[in-house]
Amino acid sequence: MRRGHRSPPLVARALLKLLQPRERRAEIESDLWELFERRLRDRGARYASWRYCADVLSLWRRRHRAEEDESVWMAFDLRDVRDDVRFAVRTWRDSGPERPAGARSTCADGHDPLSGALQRRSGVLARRRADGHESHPPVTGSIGSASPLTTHQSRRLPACGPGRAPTLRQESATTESGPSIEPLPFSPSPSRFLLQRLSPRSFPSSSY
Amino acid sequence: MRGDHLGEFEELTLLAARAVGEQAYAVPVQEYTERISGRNVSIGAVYAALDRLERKGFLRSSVGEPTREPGGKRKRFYAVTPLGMRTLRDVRRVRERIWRAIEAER
Repeated sequence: MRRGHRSPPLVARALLKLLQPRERRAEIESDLWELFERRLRDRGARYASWRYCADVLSLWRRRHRAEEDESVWMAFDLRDVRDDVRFAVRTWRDSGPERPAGARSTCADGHDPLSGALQRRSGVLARRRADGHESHPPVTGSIGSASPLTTHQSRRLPACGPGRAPTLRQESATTESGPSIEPLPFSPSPSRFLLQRLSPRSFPSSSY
Repeated sequence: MRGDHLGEFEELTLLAARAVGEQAYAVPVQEYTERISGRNVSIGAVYAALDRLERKGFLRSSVGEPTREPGGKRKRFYAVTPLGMRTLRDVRRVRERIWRAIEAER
């Protein structure tokens, strides 16, 4: 290095090389170098070095934020999983005397008890409908006085423990002529569901 | 992703890209924005805004020829699209309407 010639801080340059994806690294390095030289000329070495470091950090922050944005969908999915698990636990707890046998059978079949509870609930609903015992899906909660919630809808409620009325507004699934929602045919194991959702999409590629 | 919503910094960046003209790449846009707004603008924020504007269809980019100096790098140049110009005019019109309303109250 020539005496008196100034270059950007080594640590910041190394960080830049490490953090930026290869396809745009040259372009970004060139831009930062140009900015550094202009600031060096106009405001001096200390200011230029400080701004160079700040720019590298801003690029890192930006990349980090882009990754967070990518993972927002995953947060929503995890919330869904949490609701599924809550519903399964509630159903399993409320399923009464047949619970131990059901739990044993689902465990023996290689499924976990939670998904077993979900499947059993769906099966009961399907059988009832087939036998003609039920013209409408069972009402599991209500909002106000006139808007029953179906099992399917209550499944989407965030937190309704025993004795607590659901607080979520009912959406357009229930119509005047009665709801036409089919019972859930199959509920995947929450753990398998979670693993599926943690597939490579949750590991985004570079932010550029 | 395309949408007509324009954030404050995006608007500033889009205007700067238009004002810089044909040679609009990240560095002049950053310098222009800094000079006009009077505050420090990080290059990361400019890259982010340029990328977002391009995704929304307000800007289009093209990679230029390598610069003349040894080891010269290619630069990515940005140009404002007709949609971008239309959106800028819309934003300006809304602001002017509000300002007229405010001034009429005085």
